[in-house]
Amino acid sequence: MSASAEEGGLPTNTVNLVLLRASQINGCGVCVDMHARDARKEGESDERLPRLLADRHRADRASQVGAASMPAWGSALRSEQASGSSWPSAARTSRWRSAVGVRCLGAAYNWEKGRLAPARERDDNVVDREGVIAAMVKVVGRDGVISARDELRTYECDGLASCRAVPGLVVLPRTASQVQRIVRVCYERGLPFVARGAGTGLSGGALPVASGLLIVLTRMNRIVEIDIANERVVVEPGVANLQISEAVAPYGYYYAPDPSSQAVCSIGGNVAENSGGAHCLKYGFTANHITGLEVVLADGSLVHLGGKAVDAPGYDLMGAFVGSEGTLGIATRITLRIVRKPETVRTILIAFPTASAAGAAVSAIIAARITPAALEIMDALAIEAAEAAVHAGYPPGAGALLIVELDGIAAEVDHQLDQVLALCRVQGATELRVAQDDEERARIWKGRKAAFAAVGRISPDYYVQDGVIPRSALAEVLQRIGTLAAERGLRVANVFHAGDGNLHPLVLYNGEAQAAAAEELASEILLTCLAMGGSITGEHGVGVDKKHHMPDMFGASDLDTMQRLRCAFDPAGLCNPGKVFPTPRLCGERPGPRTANPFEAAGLAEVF
Amino acid sequence: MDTEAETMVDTCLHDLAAIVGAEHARQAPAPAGPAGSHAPVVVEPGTVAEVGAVMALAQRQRWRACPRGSGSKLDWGTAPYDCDLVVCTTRLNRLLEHAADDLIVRVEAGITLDALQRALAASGQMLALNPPGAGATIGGILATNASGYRRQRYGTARDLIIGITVVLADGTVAKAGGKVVKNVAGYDLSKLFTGSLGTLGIIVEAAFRLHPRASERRTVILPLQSPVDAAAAIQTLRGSRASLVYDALELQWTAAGGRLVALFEGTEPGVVAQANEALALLASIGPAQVVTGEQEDALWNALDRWPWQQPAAGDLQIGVKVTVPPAAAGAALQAMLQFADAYGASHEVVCHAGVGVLLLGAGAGSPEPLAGLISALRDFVAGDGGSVVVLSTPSEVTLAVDRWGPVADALPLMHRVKNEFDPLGLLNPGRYVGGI
Repeated sequence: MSASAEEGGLPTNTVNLVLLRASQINGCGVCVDMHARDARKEGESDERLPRLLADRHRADRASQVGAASMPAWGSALRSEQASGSSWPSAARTSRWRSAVGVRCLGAAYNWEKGRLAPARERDDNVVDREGVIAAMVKVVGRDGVISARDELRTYECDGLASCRAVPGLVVLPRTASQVQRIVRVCYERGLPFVARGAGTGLSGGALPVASGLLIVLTRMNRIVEIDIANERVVVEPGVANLQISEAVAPYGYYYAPDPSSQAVCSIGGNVAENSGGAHCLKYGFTANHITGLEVVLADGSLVHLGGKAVDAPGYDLMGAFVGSEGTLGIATRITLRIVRKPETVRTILIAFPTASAAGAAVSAIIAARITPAALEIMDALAIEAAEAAVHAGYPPGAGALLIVELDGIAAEVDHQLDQVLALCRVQGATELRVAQDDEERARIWKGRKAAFAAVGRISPDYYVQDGVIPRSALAEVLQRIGTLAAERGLRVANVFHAGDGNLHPLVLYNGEAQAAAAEELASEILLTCLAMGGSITGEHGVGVDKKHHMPDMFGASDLDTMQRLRCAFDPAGLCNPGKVFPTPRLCGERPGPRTANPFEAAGLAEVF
Repeated sequence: MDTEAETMVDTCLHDLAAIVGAEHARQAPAPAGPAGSHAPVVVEPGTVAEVGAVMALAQRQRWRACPRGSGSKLDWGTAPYDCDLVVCTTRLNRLLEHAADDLIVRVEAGITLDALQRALAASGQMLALNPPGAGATIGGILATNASGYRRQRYGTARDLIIGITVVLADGTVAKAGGKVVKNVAGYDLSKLFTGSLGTLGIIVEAAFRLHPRASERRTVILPLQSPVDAAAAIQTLRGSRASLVYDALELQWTAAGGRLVALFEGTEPGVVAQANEALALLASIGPAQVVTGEQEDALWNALDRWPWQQPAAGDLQIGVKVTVPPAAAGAALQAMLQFADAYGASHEVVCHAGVGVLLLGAGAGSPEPLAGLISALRDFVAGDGGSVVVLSTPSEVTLAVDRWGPVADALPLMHRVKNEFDPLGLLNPGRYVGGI
């Protein structure tokens, strides 16, 4: 956007104001702060800026103010045209011809010229906070509303601690109908809202919107129904992932997706992020295990998608909802598929001299037509960290560890176990340990699942990356990561779901001084993944963390098409705004009969 | 055809020929689009960009467009109320990339499943999707969400597709997903388009995860005399124990009686152990046996067709898909047979017993009993949250019941989705649920 603004010949600081306004419409608190900082740096006065920030983060308000300034903007353009200023040429720049662009540019023009929005609009800028609190107390009771500043701070970030925004208000509903009533208040007042489960997400998907609501679903934590005959469990979104497996264990079943945070992360969050885990190589992701959803949409209406039966007629909106990162609505009841515990599980820990050798072993196993339940690799640095933290008893001195888990029919697994051991020996394994009992198996997994947190033992700061590559490119990518890290004098600990090519490089750094370099390295790693034909995220999601990388992976028409779905679910853009997509699509732009925008009215742009 | 219409067709052909070449734009000899619609023009783009250009032109001219693959399921869905242009994907039939080491494949949507499987078999791999019927294209299978017995173990198209490229009604070419199995970047449009029956856009490319072909298989069959036995057999095998992992759990029922078929694939020791265990479990119900060789091949070939593909002479034959919670499959089969008898309809049933999906081919001399049968089935599944969808009907038949059945409270949202992707309603108008 800034490129096209500059292209239009606007002064830098005006561009900052335009971007600031765009971020407000976008509802991205982090971006608003960033552009405000930039504007100050460029000498924007503290007299004007606070007024612009008064309606910060409020998509609807910013839009309304923008819309209200449109008539003035149209006639202003005409006189600017005559005076030869750069505004009309900026307005002709293709980027600003979108409806959002028009509004941003128009609003910024009015600021630049010291015009204020109409008086009525100014009065409305003061959010009726007390009124909203009263409305929420009516819905969920006093103990379900958090409004004190210091308490709100608890919710300022999720697992991505580098992005913070204190929510305007936190509400804790207990039922779907309370969620509906909360969302309806938001809808009527144009307040953005963000749903949050346990807050363990790693991409900032539950980052609050500063002048909106955070709807925390932890009190909706009932397992509604266990239906063993149909292999289904019905739960509320606040139920922890592991609770489901525990609840059905007595019947010989479990819930397959197992993100590392499964002891605390909520199913609602899993649905939002389409969570994976170590065992999705064989069993798939959350999307493959959800059969029904009850969803509160952004206007407060309730819809039911799918159920206990499969293949419901109509569009697979359930499939589209899973993994939409909270931008399409709030799931209030989830029907999921449970699976039989396998007859046998065998876990093998294998040491290799290098991570590349371990990667070669993975390829050999897949080539032998074996689909293990899990295939995990940790490199030397990750092993060191895990050992320091949980004393998993990993072989000392190994360059890399491969964990292979085989499950299924006893006769089949025994056969495959021998094959795997032989293949690993061929690839240069230095030590092979087959877990002899559940305790040993648990110990092997303990080190792996603790690896992220454990890195804190060997480095003051670290950045968790999540990228995907075609599995066969593993050795090449590892080498590239090593080179990139060395160039910046940084260390990278590698932990990955090797079976599906999902890398979790942990970039280690020390304090503010190295933070920028670390972030740059993490970005470079993602670009490497993309260059190999991979993805910018395998399971952590885009959130706010990676939305600026979306254009690296998808073209403008791809992103625009995805947002058509968003427009169908949430045309006002109130539901978790500012996540996933780098720039919003203003809903309601339709082909067919159209009304002239101010540029056309001013005779400055042709329709094309 | 009057003169005005002829002129329109001529202009249309001329403009399309400029995009795809004169030999790939022609007047349709016979109805080429979905059953009941009459499209005067057929266009066969050879590249994704050509599909984009054709659709952009169609939108500018407000032509209603109906996507088509091999044409094997044109009788699925309600007949569109109008269709000016059939956009045929059969020339988009390239296998774009098969990364055997990564177990993924990327194809153009017009490639047939048969051709794709042949290419993959050379590497000992398969796309674990096997809907009945020869000649169907990948795009058509995705658009209709067709599936076969392998869904027991591997799920359906939505579980196997990892990336998609579509052309929207306005000619926009858009992709989602990618070519790696694990990927959560952006919305999963692959699932949205799977089963959308050409109403949101034209599927032009897709990427899938693959599975290794097993080296060994065993097929266990149990002949069944009564529907009660059938329900009991399903009950016995379904989720019975952790030592049985089915690659298929099928129940077939014709006028001559029925049989239960269980398939185990994997390594020799694994499949032998499972087949033996299944035989032992079924012994109390009847004489189950392991079939091999030609008999086994013949059995699976027989299952490779929709149960409504061979209507009796003079019968109107409809194809119906019923879904129920998995444990209700046996009861649903019993109800289905009972209702069919009550309405005097001939019937053949294939039931994916492990997942709760039943396919019914029902025939009668007139539409009325068939409509009655559908209504009775809908009443039966209503309490369980299942569905009864009439997939296929002969073009001349109008049933007195809705083909799709109730879609509950999600229908307004589906209309909004349609409206965002195809605001002018030009793609397959009226073919989908709720008149979409």
